[in-house]
Amino acid sequence: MADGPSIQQQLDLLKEQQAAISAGLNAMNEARWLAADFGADSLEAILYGLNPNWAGQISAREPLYVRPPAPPEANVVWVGSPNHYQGRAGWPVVAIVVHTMAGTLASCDSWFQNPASQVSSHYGIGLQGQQHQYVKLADGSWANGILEPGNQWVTIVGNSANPNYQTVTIETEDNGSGATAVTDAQYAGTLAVSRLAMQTYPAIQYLMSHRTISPSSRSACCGGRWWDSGRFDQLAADLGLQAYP
Amino acid sequence: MTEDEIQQAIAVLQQQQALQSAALKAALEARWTGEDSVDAYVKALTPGIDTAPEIPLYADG
Repeated sequence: MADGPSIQQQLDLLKEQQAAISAGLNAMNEARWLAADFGADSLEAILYGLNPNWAGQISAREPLYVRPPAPPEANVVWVGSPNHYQGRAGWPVVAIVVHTMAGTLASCDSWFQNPASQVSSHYGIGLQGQQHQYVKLADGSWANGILEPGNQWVTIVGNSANPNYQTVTIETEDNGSGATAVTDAQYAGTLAVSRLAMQTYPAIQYLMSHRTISPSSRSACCGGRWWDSGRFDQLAADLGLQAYP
Repeated sequence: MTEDEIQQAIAVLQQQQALQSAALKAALEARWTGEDSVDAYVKALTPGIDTAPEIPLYADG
């Protein structure tokens, strides 16, 4: 007779272990992960029972059955502006440029609708997350077309053509004060329209501030409310873009 | 079924249970894809299976 366990003993052990595995699956199904929380009914305790050699060797983490909040939905209101190029003169769109309004969303709507202002952007995002659109993405806005001495644009992008042709531009409401914090709603709105832009132009690689293009006249755009708060870098990370604040 | 055949069947069951236990351990340690993961053990248990793992979130990131 063999020295090892009999077939019956082996089968009994297999049954016992299979029952423990099933119990472990159910513990996982019911999110009973940690022994500290659920004792012997936890997956952790069941695993130690299955394999005593694992005692002290399991680095348990408690997963959550909570889905992440849905990404912010674009909910764009068309406002329009007469101030824009027709098309983009054949240039690829490679960057999103963030601005701060130095004003309110309402004043921005009015200013961009005024032909005399000669300025516009594609989007304006309010502090409450409102998403206004002034220029079609297919057209170049008149937001950041002046390449000033010391700009980083030429180095980053590799050409000195008008950046308005090559960018999607987003103004962000600040109520006239650079100290106005970027709200969660404004951030979500900016993220949402940026994603829209990237769906339209997959070649977008960069997230820039206006000062990257115009470091003299726009040295404070889009400002500490984006830079110092970490929102700018966070936006670039969320979009998977290279950040040039 | 001969005794040898039964022993072989038991050995297969033991290997499968070891893989199942390892998969549960991987789940508890939040290794869902890649080497030594739930997905890897599922594939070892069922060769040729087509999986599309969805990674859960964690309280500590």
